[in-house]
Amino acid sequence: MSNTATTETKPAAPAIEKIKVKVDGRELEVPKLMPDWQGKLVPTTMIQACELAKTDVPHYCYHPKLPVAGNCRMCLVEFGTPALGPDRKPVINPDGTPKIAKSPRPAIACATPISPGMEIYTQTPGVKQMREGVLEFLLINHPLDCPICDQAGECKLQEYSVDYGQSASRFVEPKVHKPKAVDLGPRIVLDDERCILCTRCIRFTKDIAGDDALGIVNRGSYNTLTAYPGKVFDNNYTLNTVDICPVGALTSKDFRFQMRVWFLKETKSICTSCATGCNIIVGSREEKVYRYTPRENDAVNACWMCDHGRLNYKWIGRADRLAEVRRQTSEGRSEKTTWTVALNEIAEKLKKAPHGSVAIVASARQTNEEFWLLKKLADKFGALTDSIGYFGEGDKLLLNVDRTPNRTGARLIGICQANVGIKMMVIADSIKVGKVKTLIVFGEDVTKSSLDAELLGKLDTLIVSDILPNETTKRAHYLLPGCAHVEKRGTFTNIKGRVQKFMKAVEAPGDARPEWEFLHDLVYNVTGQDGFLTIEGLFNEMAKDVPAFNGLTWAGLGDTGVTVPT
Amino acid sequence: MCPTIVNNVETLCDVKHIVALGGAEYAKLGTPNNTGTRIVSLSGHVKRPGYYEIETGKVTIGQLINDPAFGGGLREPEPGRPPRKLKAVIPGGSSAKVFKAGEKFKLKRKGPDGQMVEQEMDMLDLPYDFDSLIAAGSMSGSSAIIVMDDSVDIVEALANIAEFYAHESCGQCTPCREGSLWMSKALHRLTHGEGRASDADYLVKIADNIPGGRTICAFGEACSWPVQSFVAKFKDEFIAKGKADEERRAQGKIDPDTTPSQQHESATAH
Amino acid sequence: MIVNRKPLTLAERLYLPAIVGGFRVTIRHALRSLFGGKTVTMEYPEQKWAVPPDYRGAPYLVKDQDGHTKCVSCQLCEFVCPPKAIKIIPPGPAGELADRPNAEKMPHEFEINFLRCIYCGLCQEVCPEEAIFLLKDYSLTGLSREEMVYGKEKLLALGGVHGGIQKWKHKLEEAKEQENFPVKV
Repeated sequence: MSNTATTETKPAAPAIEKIKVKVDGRELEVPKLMPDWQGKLVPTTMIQACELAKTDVPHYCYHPKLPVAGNCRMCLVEFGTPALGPDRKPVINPDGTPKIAKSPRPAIACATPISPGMEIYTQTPGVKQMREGVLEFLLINHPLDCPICDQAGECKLQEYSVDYGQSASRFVEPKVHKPKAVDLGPRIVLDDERCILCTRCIRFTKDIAGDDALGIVNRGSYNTLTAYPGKVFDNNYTLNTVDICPVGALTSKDFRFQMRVWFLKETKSICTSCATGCNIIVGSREEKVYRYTPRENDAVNACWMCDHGRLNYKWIGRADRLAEVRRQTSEGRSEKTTWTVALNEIAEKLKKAPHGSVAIVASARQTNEEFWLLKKLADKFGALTDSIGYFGEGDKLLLNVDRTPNRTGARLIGICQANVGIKMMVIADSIKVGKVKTLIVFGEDVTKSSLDAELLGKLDTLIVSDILPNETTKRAHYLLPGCAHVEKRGTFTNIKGRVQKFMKAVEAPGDARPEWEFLHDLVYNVTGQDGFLTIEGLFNEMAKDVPAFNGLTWAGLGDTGVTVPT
Repeated sequence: MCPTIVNNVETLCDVKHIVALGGAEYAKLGTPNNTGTRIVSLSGHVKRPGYYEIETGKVTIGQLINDPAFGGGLREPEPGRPPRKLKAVIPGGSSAKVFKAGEKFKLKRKGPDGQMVEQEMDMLDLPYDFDSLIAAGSMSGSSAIIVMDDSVDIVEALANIAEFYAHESCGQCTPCREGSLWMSKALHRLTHGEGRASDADYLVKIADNIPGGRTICAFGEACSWPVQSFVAKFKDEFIAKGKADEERRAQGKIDPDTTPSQQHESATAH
Repeated sequence: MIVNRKPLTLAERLYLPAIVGGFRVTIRHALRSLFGGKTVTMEYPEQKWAVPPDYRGAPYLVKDQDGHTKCVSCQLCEFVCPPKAIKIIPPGPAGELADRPNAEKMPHEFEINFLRCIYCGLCQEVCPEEAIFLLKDYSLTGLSREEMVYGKEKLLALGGVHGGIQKWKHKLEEAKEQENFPVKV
């Protein structure tokens, strides 16, 4: 992996010299060096200085996390530097200010480093005219098929056309036509006519994903983006090219023609497909999740996420989602019941349970708050607790071998050991010898582990909370329907100890409730402990109680989380 | 990837002189500030097109065209036709700005008394060196001189140049990639019976958006300068051609050699 | 600001002049239809009112002159519709291909709920494909709420044909003729 994107920015870096520049007449101090796409300190560029000055410089090919190409020419600005006299000393105006020699030629802001005393002009008539010129050139051969283009609504070409476009085209020649609906790989469709040849996708695949699969063939206006002959564009990061494509040239087969983006509600969330915990935005409409897109967090995932995690959302809307609270009657019949009845009955049974007769199997896909509440229950009954690990092949960029989002949280709170699942055999043995009579299972099909159906049959009480039906939920005495992470709020602790929160995007189906809500009720019923009716309060209580989380607050996590020592 | 040097033939010829004469002696050739020799590639409507090595600045454009030692004058007319007249000269490769025959320039030159005096001179009297051609608004460039006599349709000539640049543009940066082909398409239209009187201004407006540091390399300038200078100096011919096309179309007569968009119109008319 | 009501005059307070005035209109129309042969009423629904040409009736989907669905499922009408009467289900990646050449997209389902529609015409105005038009129908009836939700096939059948520039076809033809241009690689 070529990037420092997933590493922490070092706090103890030496102080960087600041230099004074002027952006549109406003003076500001900017660091002389700033991180480039690899995080390496290099001389600050004009576009970075303009960003610090909160001045927007339109651009297509520039991306802060990619090497600079400088080919779109949209970010052209005018600039001047302090004039030097024949003695190599700055010439001073009568009013004492240094005389500025305006450069006769413009410069691309994305690639030109700043120098002390430089003045950058982004709003002059000349700059406006250059932007209009470049935009017109980009539009003449663009098919303007926005009505059928998935990018419409989040397209930079549309946005800048509003700012710098003409109301009507003066182009009367036939447009250049190129291949349409090109099948680049299993997840990507390319429309070459829409491509503005910014080469962001080429640079991403080559320099970030390390799979040199894309390139441009032909000359001049006939430039065509394509995969190398015989090469399929198929790595675990292909869908990022869809995000960074400023136009609708690269589109996702998964999201193709699914929904117009302006209908999508955007919710800040965390990917749950591995322990990296990539920050994402959930796009949903009318309680249906349509897509995940990465959200920038330089401490975790920069601007990227893997295709594996991105496409792992379809189970959320499955028709067989558990949506009813169910209990088993004394005749062994399963019947629908209410939360109040179920929770009261469970509390009564738990209160009567002898010390050491309860075991808890939690899922490493649960939140820190839920683990903490389960831990409270476990402490009350001296219960055995553990979780189940899921591991797969990792890669060098983002995908972790640990395929659960919160094993670190489970370990820090004390639900499982560093060696996850090590106590599962102990729990199995305890059930076998009749010591454990009550088993609480959250989000796991334990029949696939050491607790088979026969063992489960030995239990007096099996309390199961899950999202989708499985062999364990079938055998539950009490079945409590839970929520997917997009249906509730909470925090995960990623493999590096970053505590990150996620928000609710859609409503849970039927009677399903967030686990922390009913766990809180249960803890209150069993132990009488209260005082955390909101997720904010619950998190803050937990942070006080769990040593690893001491000092954290829900508000203090911000959008990108806080790293705790693991 | 190894660095590779590719030398111009002209450079190697200069090296030969420098090795033979020594640097100081070689620098005495030519005129002050425009030293050494240049190899002029004379082409177009002259009697003796070819390569001529000259001392920089010692020969004028007129001499290069008309002197028997060089071009030997404009080519002979077809039998029974009046003698050819010079129409235009491109002094430094097709990207250099064109000179119109009879064009006059005011250049500062060192007089006999050593003082700088402003002197008006005809295009043909310009000494062929770097400074004079830049002062006259063009450039010595690749020192490829293209001579055009009055048989040339200046719009066709520009269309030919523009097509070359559209073909050669690498396509890396936007203005040159899109602008070169756009200009070429507009000129193709203008030379194939689908012109408009407004095309002269249309072309200049396209060309004005390409040069001046907006492109990565100098190719952007190279493709827009000919369009800017041809239209500026021969605007009446561009307008006349466009107008003639408009009138012909208004009368319902369509040039048999139609452009794609025109074919499309006729294809969808039924 | 309070505007005080003008006090009524004696004649107005009596009401009689107004009643007489009303009767005069009624009697005039009665006599005209009895003896003048001029009726002001209409035997609706057997007789129907002829609507003016710029009348805004119910919005329907139209087909082009080749019988192809014009709607490309861009969902702008759904977005702009003030009473949220329009619901479009896009085709999705596996959806059926459009029945017109060169434009890949067509709605999987297009519903207009005529119980919600307010005949404002914003859908027609916003449509980039000229695929939806407010036609002349003003009397839509049904026996249930479901019946008043018109689906794609019904809307297309009611909308009929509306020719136009056929821009997707034009693009395709232009692309096919691309070989003619001399500057090529």
